[in-house]
Amino acid sequence: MRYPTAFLVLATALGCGLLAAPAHADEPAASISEKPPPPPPSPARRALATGAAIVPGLVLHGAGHAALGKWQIAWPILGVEMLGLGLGAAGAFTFWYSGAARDLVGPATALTLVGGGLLGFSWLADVYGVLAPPGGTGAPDRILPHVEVALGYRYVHDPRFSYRNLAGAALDLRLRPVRLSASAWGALDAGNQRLRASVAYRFLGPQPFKDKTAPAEDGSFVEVSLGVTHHAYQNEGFGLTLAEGFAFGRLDLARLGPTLEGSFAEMGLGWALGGYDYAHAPGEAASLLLMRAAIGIYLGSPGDPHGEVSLFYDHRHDDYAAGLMMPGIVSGVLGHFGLGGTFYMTERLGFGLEAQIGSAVVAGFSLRYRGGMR
Amino acid sequence: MRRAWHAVFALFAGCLSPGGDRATLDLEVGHGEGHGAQVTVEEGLAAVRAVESGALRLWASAPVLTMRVHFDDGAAEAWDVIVDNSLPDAALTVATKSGEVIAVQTSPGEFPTQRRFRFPLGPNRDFVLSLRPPDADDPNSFRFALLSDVQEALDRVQDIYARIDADPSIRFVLSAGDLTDKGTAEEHDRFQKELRSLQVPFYATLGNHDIAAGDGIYQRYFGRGSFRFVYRGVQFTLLDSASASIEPAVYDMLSGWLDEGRNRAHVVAMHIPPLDPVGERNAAFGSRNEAGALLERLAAGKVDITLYGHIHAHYNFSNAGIPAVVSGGGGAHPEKMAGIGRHYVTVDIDEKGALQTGVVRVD
Repeated sequence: MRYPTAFLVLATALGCGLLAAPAHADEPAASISEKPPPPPPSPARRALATGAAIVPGLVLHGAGHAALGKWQIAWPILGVEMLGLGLGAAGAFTFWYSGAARDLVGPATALTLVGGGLLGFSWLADVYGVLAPPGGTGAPDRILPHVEVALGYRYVHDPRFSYRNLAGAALDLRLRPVRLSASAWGALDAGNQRLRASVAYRFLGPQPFKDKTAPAEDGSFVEVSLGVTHHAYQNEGFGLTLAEGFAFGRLDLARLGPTLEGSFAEMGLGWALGGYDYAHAPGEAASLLLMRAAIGIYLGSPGDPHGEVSLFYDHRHDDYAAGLMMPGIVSGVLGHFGLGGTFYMTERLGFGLEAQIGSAVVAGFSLRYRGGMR
Repeated sequence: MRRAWHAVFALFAGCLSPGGDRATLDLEVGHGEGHGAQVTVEEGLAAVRAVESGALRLWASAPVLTMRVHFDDGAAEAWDVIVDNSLPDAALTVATKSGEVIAVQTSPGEFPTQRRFRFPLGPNRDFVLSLRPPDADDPNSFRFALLSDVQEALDRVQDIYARIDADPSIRFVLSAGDLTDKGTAEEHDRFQKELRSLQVPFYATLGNHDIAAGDGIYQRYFGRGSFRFVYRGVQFTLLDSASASIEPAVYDMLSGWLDEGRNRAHVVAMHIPPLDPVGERNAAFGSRNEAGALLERLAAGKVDITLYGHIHAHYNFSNAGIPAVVSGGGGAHPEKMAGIGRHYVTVDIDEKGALQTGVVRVD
């Protein structure tokens, strides 16, 4: 593995969070019965905390919770910020000092991105914690379906390609800790298809129902996946095929404190290796650093209409959104940003929405079905 | 509804074309007027620096220029044409609209690559001016140098120029951009002053640092970011990839340039490479998809070599089967442990169009 340092950091960060029990579970039941919960903050204090989460909270993450008097949550948030700053600075310094040296640039970029992701998490978590209603915005599925199917449409505006309208389908099959996934997207108005298949193993976290096994404590999980993606550009005469390994995890932020109940953070790192094939030239190898960071919230709770939405950064430069266009000296380095979510109106039927911006703008809608929850 | 949907995406589309303004500004390069004169340089191959009373000042982006000039009745009787960044042996031919050739006085410039010419208007109002070196169509082999990414090392660039000047076989320098660090007018001004010691012209496209202070400064000084010229039967196509992408308007022009270059040796240069030889770094186009599409077009167009800057080291590799060179050895913060410091690359093209590259280490 080329990025042991970055994976170690990621594993440590996720591990620390996952080893911590959910915040509501570490309070003895007796204390709950003996001490009534503190009254919710007054509207004025909440407004003050919201302001503090922005100024000085934009710099000092956790200031919003401090303004609420929730120091036991403010400190961990500040700690995550400091960790993010430290990792980001270490990565950025290595990147700069080495002149993006070929043997260091992978780990340096990974560290910088992980650090940046943690910085985003800590600030947005602080803002969420001061704004969210008591009990949070929702709760996760602690049992996953065996089968999940999506049929979708995407509108892609990339001024350098002719396709605009895509249709696609995705399938997830889960058997205990193993997930098999496949997806296919094709342009309706050009010769362009993106096909993907992957297998993932979940070490911990929600899984399909199994007799005599308790549901997961919350939505947190850790999994690794191996996948292959082939993207064919018939109109342009080339294709790109990548095989990848990816380690990914989610942490329900309620583990940091009850005000964060209903929110989660995700991070993953990986590496892809493959190659281009050209109509007028021999094929060539290609490699890609993979990284994804997301922070999101659950909407509603299982049993009622519910789902989740997340804001994410994806370092992929090879999908429809690809890398962010930025004027100036950093253009080309960053991946894309997006907002996406799924929502199930019934136990089985739901929909998904997505929006991404990178080299292209992508907006999509999908209808979703899932089965085998029991 | 459909219109509203497209309007929303058009709003975002501005973010998807960060180089769109530069592609538009490119089209303004090569035009100038004032003091009774209107100048148009064909294909924008020179920046019209000034049209003064009785004098035209140009910065050449190519060895061969063709200019069309119209003078109003009140214009000065005789005009000076001062061309900076010219081949030192280039001569100016002035012809009237009817094809009559006008005598031109030539005088030495203030530095090796400045050429000064003077011609009378007489009764004529419309002229075609042609600047050409004597070897413009010579089919024999020649050499040029590739030098990019000077940036903050402008104070130390003179020793690179001295090394280039010591090789009389180098006909000109081609640059894949990042002449300056912050892209300010002051830096561009300083860069052109430093160039005065160089014995050969410096034809460049722009890099991401050259646009850091905003679009338009580079074009005002050094002309178009995307253009093509032909010298001694070899086509040179320079593309503006400073925003890690190429603008759709430039792709439209590239189609024609690739058709023109299909049957001759064809050199393509741009600052940010479509693909980084170290994929995890991605000092390359923001979209791997665009990179693949561009490289397939270059391969289909039978491009012979691609030259890049941006990465401050030296790499020889292949993209879509086309030999590729990354050379960012102008002195900007170097890639450590790459085994190379400041350098430039020489490219030799023989009479059959075959190319051979070499590296000249300066440090």
